[in-house]
Amino acid sequence: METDVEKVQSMGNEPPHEDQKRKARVSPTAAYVLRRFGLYLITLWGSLTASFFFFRLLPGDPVRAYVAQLQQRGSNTTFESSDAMLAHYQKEFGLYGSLLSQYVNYFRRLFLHFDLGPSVLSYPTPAIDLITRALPWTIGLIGVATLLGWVLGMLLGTLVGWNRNRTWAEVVTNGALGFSHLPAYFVALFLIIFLSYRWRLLPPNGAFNTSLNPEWSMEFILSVIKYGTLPVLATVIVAVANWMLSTRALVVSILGEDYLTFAGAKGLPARRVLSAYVLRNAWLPQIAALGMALGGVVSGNVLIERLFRYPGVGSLLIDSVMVKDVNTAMAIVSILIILVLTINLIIDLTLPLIDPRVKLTGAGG
Amino acid sequence: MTDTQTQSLFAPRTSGDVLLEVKDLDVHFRLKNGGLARVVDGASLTVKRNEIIGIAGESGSGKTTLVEAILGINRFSNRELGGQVLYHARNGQVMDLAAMSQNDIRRVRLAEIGYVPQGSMNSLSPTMRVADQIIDGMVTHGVSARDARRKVPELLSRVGLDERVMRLYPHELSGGMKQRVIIAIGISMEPSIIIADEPTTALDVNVQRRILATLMRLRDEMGVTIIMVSHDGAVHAELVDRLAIMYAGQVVETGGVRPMLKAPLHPYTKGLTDAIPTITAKRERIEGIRGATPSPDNWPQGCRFHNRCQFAMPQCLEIPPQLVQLQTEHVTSLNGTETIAQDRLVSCHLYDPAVRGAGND
Repeated sequence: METDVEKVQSMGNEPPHEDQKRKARVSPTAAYVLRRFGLYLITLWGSLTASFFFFRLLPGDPVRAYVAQLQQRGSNTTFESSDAMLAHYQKEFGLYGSLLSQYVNYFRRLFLHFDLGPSVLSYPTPAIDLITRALPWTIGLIGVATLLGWVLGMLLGTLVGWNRNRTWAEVVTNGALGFSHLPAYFVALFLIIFLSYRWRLLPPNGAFNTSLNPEWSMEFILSVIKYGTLPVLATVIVAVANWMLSTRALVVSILGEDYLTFAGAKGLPARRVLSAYVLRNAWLPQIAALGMALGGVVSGNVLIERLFRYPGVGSLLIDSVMVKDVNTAMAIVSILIILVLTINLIIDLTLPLIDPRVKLTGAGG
Repeated sequence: MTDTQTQSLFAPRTSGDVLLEVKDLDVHFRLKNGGLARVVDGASLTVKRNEIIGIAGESGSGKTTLVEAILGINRFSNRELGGQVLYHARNGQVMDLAAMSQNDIRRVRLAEIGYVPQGSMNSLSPTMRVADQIIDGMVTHGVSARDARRKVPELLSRVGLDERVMRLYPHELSGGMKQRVIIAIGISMEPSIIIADEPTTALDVNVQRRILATLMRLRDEMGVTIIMVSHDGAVHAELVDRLAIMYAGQVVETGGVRPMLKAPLHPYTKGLTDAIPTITAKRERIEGIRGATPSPDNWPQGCRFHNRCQFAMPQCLEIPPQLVQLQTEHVTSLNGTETIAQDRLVSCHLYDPAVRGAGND
């Protein structure tokens, strides 16, 4: 997920226009977009392949377990033997034949029909249907928590960096240092114990009040917000601490830069120096960092959802792994991979538009 | 620091054309271990209108701290300021920059005193276009954004840059171009003074020359006064009218640059001039000044140069010398040249018969 762009310092006295002219034949933007998109496809294929083999190599046969379950319930009515039954379900779940043919079949179904196979968890519902039901919850949770953590962390980090010599800023920084090392699920446990069970302020689990009908009503939306507050808070507290510390480090290093002294020597008031010189130079690298952090957020969210029994893909992933539902688990991982990689692609493609130092180079590198 | 009676001896007022008077300036920094770093300690300097005055001295002698104190831009919270920086504004008003609030001195910067900083390679924000960095200084001093933008091409051409540079970012400029942009910003409000702190450091000699020529041209065109900080003797010899030598946080000698280089009075000045290589001289080992600059939290007693001075007398260890105008008409310098003493200020017991005599008793 490296940022495939270069910060180029033009050296010497030659006017910079000349080397732009030289490269003008192939538009550097087009070349960059193509190269970045190619990299995206390669990374996508690589990580999907890796997770495919990972799930296939897990010990235990999900089909055998499923068939045994069916036989126990005595619902074997159409099959002559348990072997025939086994073969049928192996084929049904795409777990038939050699690993290589399974691999080819899997990708053919995925890319030609966007079919990820039926779920074991609630057969015959397709895995993709289970996911589309759960995904909006997860995206909402991650999206709100990540953006909130990022924005608040940047604001707080700028504040404590700008006032780095004040006692209160030092206290806040040290506090953040402590929180940044806490795992989000640990914070979540505390929140559940105190805010939910002890003080009964917020509901400890679920995504909405189950007595309400899921619809676009004010009542339902408020209920979603109320139920979502704790899981969001658990993620945000840790995220704010982390973003705050990295932003503070950036701001403090910028405060030592010559261009800040010079901005002051121009007679600019502190307010203007902060907004035009410090913030601008601090928040650009943080956008790239946001993309990098996303992978961690997604995987961390699995535990959060579990703890709050939130009906997102994280909970679904754990449920499906429990019953060795390869199709669903694999589908969730695939979709999360696609999501994270795509967002990173978007960030990488927009970065050159907002950061002038990021120069597009058509040549490989 | 010093008693008030000797105050009148410092930087005697020159009639009319005095622009800036630094009087007994202290810039001290309280250290975490309780000590006090007296980086600038009783420095005095008079700057006249339309001259180029050079400030020379070894690293650590307080040159940069002195000019930063003039502008009030040293942001460290443990700074303790003493003395006066009297600025004679164009309207005849005299203001003490050292006593001003941050908000007041902010208005003096750029409008009255432009700054070309040390390390100008990194003095432009990497994420702003050149034009915007020129404009925002002017706008903050009350120029309308439209007028400021209209003035940018003219400013750039004044420092020898093409108009299209305004649309570029700093990383697209060479070192010399960046330095010119900085100078363009420095002159954008047509200040009375430009303080150039080692403006040619990190530039190759060719570019150095052109930057210095630009500064001299601006002095002639705009009538601006330039304070040039440099430890490069060649720069001073070529560019400045008058020279001030700093040692251990104080100005130890001032005077016209030619007489000073030809006939140094202070032993430290002699040491510096001896270290300037000349093309005509035979190739020989350049004699440096023995010892190193003392530390600002522990300056030597008496004359601060005594432990490195080949002319040191017992009195030098006890009595700190004062920067004074010589009482005689002519004086013999340390390399034997007879020179006119007028306009020379020196802080050395060698030229004070009273102190010298006291030692001979």
